[in-house]
Amino acid sequence: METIIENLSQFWQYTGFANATWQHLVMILIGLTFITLGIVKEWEPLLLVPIGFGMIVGNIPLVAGLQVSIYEQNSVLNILYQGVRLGWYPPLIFLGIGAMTDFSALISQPKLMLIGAAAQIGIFGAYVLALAFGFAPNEAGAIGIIGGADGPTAIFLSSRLAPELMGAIAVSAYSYMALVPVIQKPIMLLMTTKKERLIRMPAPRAVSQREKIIFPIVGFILTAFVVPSGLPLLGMLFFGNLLKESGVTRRLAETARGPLIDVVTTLIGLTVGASTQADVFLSAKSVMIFGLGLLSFIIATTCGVGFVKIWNLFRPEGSKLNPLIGNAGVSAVPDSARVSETVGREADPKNHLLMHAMAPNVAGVIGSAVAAGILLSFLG
Amino acid sequence: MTTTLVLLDVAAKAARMAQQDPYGWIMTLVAVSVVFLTLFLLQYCYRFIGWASTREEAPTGVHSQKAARRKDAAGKAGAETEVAAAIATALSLEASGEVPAVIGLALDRYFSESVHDKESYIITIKRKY
Repeated sequence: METIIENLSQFWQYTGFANATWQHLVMILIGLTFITLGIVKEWEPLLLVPIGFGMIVGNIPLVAGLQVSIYEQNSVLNILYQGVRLGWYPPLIFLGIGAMTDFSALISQPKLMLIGAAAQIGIFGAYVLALAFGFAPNEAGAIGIIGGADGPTAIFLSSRLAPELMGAIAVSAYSYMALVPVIQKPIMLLMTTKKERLIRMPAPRAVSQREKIIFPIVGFILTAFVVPSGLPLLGMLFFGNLLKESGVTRRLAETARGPLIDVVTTLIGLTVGASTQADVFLSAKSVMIFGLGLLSFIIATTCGVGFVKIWNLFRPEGSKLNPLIGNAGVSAVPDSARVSETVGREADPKNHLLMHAMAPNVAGVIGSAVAAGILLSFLG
Repeated sequence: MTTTLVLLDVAAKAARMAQQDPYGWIMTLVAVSVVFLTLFLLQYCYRFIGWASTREEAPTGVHSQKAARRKDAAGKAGAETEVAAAIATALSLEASGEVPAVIGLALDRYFSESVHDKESYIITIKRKY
């Protein structure tokens, strides 16, 4: 009888109930919130559901030495986590993004690319603020990239510059990407007049197949020559797009934009979520990262819309741009372009900005990868 | 071992940056300039490619009829892009989420014929003997 009680007592010591702390419960609650937002509100469900479940997985109270935790060498989760830690997953996601993105809107209106550049100021605005709050330059660079509104790039850069902050940065980036409509709309309304919101832009011209094939080749060579440190992201993005547009590699393009990106997204979401263990995640630094992330999104949106307004001062009457496409300079594709369309339609139900906003939106993907390359070359 | 060395390198670079540019203004100025310069160069490349492409399609001599037809088709595609956006918008009144945007893009791709892969449809079988 005594042995049975002793065994039961020993078993109890191994259970989650015996090892749980309030921090574990808070993190599990945050994970459940993510899952709820993903399922009920349908906010970025492909990301929030795996990250939310990963948070629960990573915060099950454990006794050290069971070889199951994500930070224990050679555990299954630890092996899957190597793709995040060493930066394999983000370039594979970029391959899929390249294979599913239609750059026609950008090719037909290349001038709108500059809006994508203006919105990247959010990254560096957050960098300056993070330095002012006492973060080291490498940490500030990793935090700043949240303003690019690009989850894979944020993971890629933070895994190189500040791995210890990666969980908070990734969760912050994906949370704000899900909240793009909530964050951007008030800023857009605040910065534009009714008259500006009514500006109509001519329909973009049709783009030939040859232009679409030349686009990824020229784009890659030029950007990679300027920022070679962005090679993994830029190379995969443009390669994926070439697979799509070449017209002769249909199967490869379908795999890249289908099963491959699905598998990698599942793994990246789950492992990033599992890496947010209570003892590392629940800190003042994480709260500051969330605050700076929000500020970087606000700066990026403000700079995008403000840039179009300033540009309009130099454009002749009749060829002015609608400033509502300025918010789409961040690389949350197609969410921020959809916000442009929605806000534009509220002002004039017959004014469709979606295709115009897609141009700075996809330029933002290129811009944030270039910005990540610059930060890496300075700080990595 | 390699990871540790990389992190040490990052720490050394960060320390140097903290000393040389404590407020981050120099880094910001340089980085923003590089991002702008890269996308500025890129947009000029694409402007040139677009210009060359449309110039090739401009009506000249005996090919004028054919070129005019192409121009008509391009105009139609431009209009159809608007149609695609309009359909997407109409759908979004009924449904929310990504569906309208996806339908809009799919229609646009369909109208501009980029969704169709070009296959040779020639099957070559080499006899082994």
